[in-house]
Amino acid sequence: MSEKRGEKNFSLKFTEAVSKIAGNRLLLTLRDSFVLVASLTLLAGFTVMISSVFLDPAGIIFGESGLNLGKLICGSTEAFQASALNGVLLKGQELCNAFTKGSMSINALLVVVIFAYTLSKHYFRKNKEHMNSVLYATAAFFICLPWSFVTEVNGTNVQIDGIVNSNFLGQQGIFAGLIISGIAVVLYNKLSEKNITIKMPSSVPPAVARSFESLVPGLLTLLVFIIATAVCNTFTHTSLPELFLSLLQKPAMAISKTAAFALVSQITWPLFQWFGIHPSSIWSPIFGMTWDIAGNENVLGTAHHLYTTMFMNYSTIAAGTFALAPVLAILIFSKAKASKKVTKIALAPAIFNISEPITFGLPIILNPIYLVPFVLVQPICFYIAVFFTKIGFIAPICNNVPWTVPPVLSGLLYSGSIQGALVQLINLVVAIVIYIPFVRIADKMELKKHEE
Amino acid sequence: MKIYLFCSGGFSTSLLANKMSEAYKDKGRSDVTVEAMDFGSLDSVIEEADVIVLAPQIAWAKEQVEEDYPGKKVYLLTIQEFGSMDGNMIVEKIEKGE
Repeated sequence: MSEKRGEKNFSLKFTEAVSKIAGNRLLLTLRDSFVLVASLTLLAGFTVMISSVFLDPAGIIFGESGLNLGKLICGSTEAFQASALNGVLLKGQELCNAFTKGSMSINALLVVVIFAYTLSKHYFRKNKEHMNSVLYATAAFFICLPWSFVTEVNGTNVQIDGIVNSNFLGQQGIFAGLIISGIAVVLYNKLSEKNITIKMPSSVPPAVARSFESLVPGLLTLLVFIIATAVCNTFTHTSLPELFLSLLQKPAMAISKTAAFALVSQITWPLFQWFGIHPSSIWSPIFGMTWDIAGNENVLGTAHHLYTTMFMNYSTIAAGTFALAPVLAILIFSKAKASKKVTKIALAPAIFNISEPITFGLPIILNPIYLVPFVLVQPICFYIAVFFTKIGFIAPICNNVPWTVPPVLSGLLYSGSIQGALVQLINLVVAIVIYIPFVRIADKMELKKHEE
Repeated sequence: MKIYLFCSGGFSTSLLANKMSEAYKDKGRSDVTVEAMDFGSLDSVIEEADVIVLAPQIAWAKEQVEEDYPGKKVYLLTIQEFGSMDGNMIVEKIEKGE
């Protein structure tokens, strides 16, 4: 009896602790910001996917690795490569890839603007004009950015001044964007709240006095960054973003490349979910600063990271580990009426990888019978995909696709290859197989209950 | 009366919102609208919302919402209620609460 109570106590304490973290205002703000910015990067990811899967002359539609439509339409591969069709496809690819210029390539700038706005809204509710926070955060960011560029011209290094180093507008400036934007918003709002300003003599008209007074918090805020930039330049001969990149962002990315990070994330993700806490509440801010960046670099083509958020989505969520696998396992292998009834409602959303109807409806959540398969399926499927990538059967995932695209089709889009779709299908089947014995146990318990 | 449902992504609650809308239509209550949104959008719609319904996986948010917006009616769905996706049942619960 006391064992059960001990269990319940632990479960309650665990849920409380994780809920506290999930509800943490800063994490929430980070998460909201990343989600907003992601709507742009997702869009660009989608167009890059269209470009690499459908338009690529060497891809699976027109190229020899797939349907070989190019050869079919033009008669031979050589004719295709010289044809106008080839030119049109290449131009189409250019257009699709251009979306990244407005998203991934200015990711840090977008983060500065959106994070400033959400931070201001969540922490400084009394502020009547949140755009002021955005204004000063953006100004601070550009004050800190390096405004010169060293490039090689005819073998010698030439410094060009007056141009912002655009690397820090994109993936490399994300940490800098968060830190600078965050500090600027807090400084500006705290100074405004404390009414720290200069008092104009009473002979000055009040409206004029007020317009001067409102400048002071902003002036002081930006002054902090100007001084910080000057200090940084003098002592380290680099800019603040460069410092943040090497001291914070690069180590964080390095940690996220480790097997340990991957393992912890893949085990805790379903574990949190089993306790009924949405795992992205905790992991989205962390992924936003690590795996999302790695994924963006893959989409841009500047890297080929193995561990990215899109890889996790491809190998687990979009492969149906949480939704389609349990639903199909029950549909095919269960004889219990109650379970089958739930699958009626849960099947349609599960096809689009929406798991709540089945996880909350069966339920799988807080149901000890399904704890083991639910927590095991994710890391197992993740590492199956890792295995196939390591042996070269599939390439590191370089396309970003919404995780709601049905399994197998999404595998095709994520990887741009039939092999990618096949690996996802394997994962789906493996997941179903893992659920089967537990579906049987659940059936037996259901039967016992009826007999009693 | 405007009812807003919130969960993490807005996908699963949109199913429930549809069912609840149907349930209200069957009752002839054309004055009620039910919409589902992701939790991040709560601040932008809170002014016009009469009733807030939270999905269980964001249960930790109930205290925060009640603190930030006293005076708004906040419901937290249990796992069973949410999993059932039973629009009628949730509508009954809200009507009784009124």
